[in-house]
Amino acid sequence: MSFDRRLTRIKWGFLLVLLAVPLRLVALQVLWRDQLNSDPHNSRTQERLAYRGRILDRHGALLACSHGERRVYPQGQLTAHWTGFCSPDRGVAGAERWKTELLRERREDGGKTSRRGHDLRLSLDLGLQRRLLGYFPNLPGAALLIDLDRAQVLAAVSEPGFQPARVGRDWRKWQSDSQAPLLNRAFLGVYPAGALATSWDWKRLPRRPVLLMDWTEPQVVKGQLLISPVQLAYRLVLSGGNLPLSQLFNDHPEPWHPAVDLAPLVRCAGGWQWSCVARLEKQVVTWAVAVRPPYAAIILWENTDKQKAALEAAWKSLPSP
Amino acid sequence: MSTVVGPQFFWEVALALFLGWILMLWPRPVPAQGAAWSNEGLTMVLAQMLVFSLFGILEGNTGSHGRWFLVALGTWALGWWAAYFSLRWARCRGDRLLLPLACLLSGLGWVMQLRLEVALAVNQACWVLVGLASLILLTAYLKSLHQLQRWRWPLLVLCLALQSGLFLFGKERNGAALWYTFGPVSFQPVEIVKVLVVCLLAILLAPASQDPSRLTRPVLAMLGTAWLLLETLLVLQKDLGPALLFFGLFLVMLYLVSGRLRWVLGLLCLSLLLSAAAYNRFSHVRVRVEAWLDPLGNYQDSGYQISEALFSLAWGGWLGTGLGLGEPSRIPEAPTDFIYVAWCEEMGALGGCLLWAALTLFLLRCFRAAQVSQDPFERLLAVGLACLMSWQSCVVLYGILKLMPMTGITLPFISYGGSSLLSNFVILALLLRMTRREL
Repeated sequence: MSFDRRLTRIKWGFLLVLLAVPLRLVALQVLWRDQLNSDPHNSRTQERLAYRGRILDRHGALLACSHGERRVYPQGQLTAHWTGFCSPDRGVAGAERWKTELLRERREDGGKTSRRGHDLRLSLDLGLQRRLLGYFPNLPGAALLIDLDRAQVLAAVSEPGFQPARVGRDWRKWQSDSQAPLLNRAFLGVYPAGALATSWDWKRLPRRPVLLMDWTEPQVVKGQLLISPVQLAYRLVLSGGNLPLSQLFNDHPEPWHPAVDLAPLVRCAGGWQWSCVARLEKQVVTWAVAVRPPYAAIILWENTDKQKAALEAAWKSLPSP
Repeated sequence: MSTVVGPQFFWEVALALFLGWILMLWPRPVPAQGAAWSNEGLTMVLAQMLVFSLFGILEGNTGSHGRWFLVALGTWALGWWAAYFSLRWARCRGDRLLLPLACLLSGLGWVMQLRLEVALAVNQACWVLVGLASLILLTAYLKSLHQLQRWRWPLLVLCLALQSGLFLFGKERNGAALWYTFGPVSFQPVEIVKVLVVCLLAILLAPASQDPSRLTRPVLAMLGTAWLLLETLLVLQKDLGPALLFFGLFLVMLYLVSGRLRWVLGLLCLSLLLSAAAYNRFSHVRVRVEAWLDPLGNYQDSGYQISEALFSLAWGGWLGTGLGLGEPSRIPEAPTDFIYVAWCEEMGALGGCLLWAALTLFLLRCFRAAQVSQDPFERLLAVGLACLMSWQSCVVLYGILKLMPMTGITLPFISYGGSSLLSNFVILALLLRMTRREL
């Protein structure tokens, strides 16, 4: 091989080695961005805590604000999975994480740049959130209340919850807790879908969620469809709540019961309601869905096949409309 | 913030167009002597306009530097024009694209340094002028590079003397004595040594590049001795970056001249064994490897720098925070080793890719200088210089992006560092001198 060919080879070799740089750059700056931004060591996301914006519900009720260098969550456990937390030891999670730029960004105040970050207003309705939580008397599970027209989550519950203010102290305890209070079941919990039709093309759901939160992909394990409550919610949003029942359910050995009355929750009568028990090996869950456009409610209780007892307990605990 | 398209986005589009323009000029046949120079001059004008507009963006975002720095930038631009016209008058025009590309890189680097630390930028501006002056002098008065060939022994002695003098007169910084200090000026000899080493390699290997059978035992022995001595000195001085640099340089040159991949692979295996030994033996090596493998786990001590660099990159996202609006100063050594990370935070991944493209085009152009050269010594010298710059860029970019352990090296023309900048200008002058026939 001649000198010139070796020279060309060396030149392209260097180019090849250098090509890793832009690829790596895109990986670090775009793909792994969230992960790095929420790292507990990352002081960029945490400093200036005192100037971080507030988090409000849809009517302006306070969910999170800063007192000095301390982050305070007035609603505590009720909205823990919504707000997430912002802790010096454990990083940033929830809305604090996925809207951290907005909360930190300096805003214009009457032509002047203020140090305080923007306020974040969530689609959450605090009153509905409280009522939805009433369906979980000491039962683990998840629930969503959605506005089908605007694809907004009005309330989302994941039980058991945690106290965002105690993240620093109780973290290890929660981590080892078999009930996994830190898991946001409504969005990240994966459950057997039971009577929900596998014939539905769940795989074709777009990967970008309309509901703006992380979520898992629907998957099929041992012939059983596994979904998270938010995936069902998203399905309902896509259909505008007008799905004929025959499309939602297939012939499943598990019978479904129109047992639980979610009417007070969706503030209407005349919609349709449904509940069923779904199993996969040892996991047993009870689903309950009520739809009355433009509202839909999805409730899921874990570890119970005592459906009737559970539902009665839930029914009793419901605040009167 | 990433949701808002800042002015840097439009600037980046302009930079992309400029790079497209460079590519358009790339293969164009060289006009005959006396033909219009318009393209070359226009490229310089465009490069400087990009630098000025970047300064404008910085001013618009922070508004803190003011008129004096515009004057400094004007002086900077005039310096480059002086180099441009002196090359013309000395009838040593050299490659058409090397000068504008170097001008662009140095300008962007300078604006970034100004944004990071004003005092450093002032210092650097002086060094740029010194560098440009040396470029002008070298291209005008260095009649023939062949004179160098008679000086192989003095060159070797000079390299070793400069490097080992650090044991006696070196000024210590960050736990390693790598600087000579004369009053306010400090100088890192390794930056000049690396250019001298390339010259030495070219002298030694030039006959063999014509005819591999002339790669005789005495030549190899001298090569090996010089290499071993230098590497030993650098490792003893804990200067791992240049040690890696010389190692790669020797291997590449050896392959280029001998064409024996087996030798290179053998040496590579040997060096892997040696570095494993170094990992076990030296704590400063171990610390760097640990910091590379798990920077977040070692955040409190060794991994701090890399972790902050990663956070800085993630903070920038696609479009960057905007020049002057990010927080790259959190990274230790941001203006020198990590200036590229600082750039990427504020200009985004898009700006990072474009700066990378500009640098890569510059390096490819250096290789092209070697390819068009006819004389064996000059050609080998050009390859050596091109390899030196490319390998240096690879090592530093891989280090700061956590693709390999970090070693302290500067990015050509972009990083802060007087002696490094000066050596870059010397390299540029040599390349321009070599391509003088390509008018």
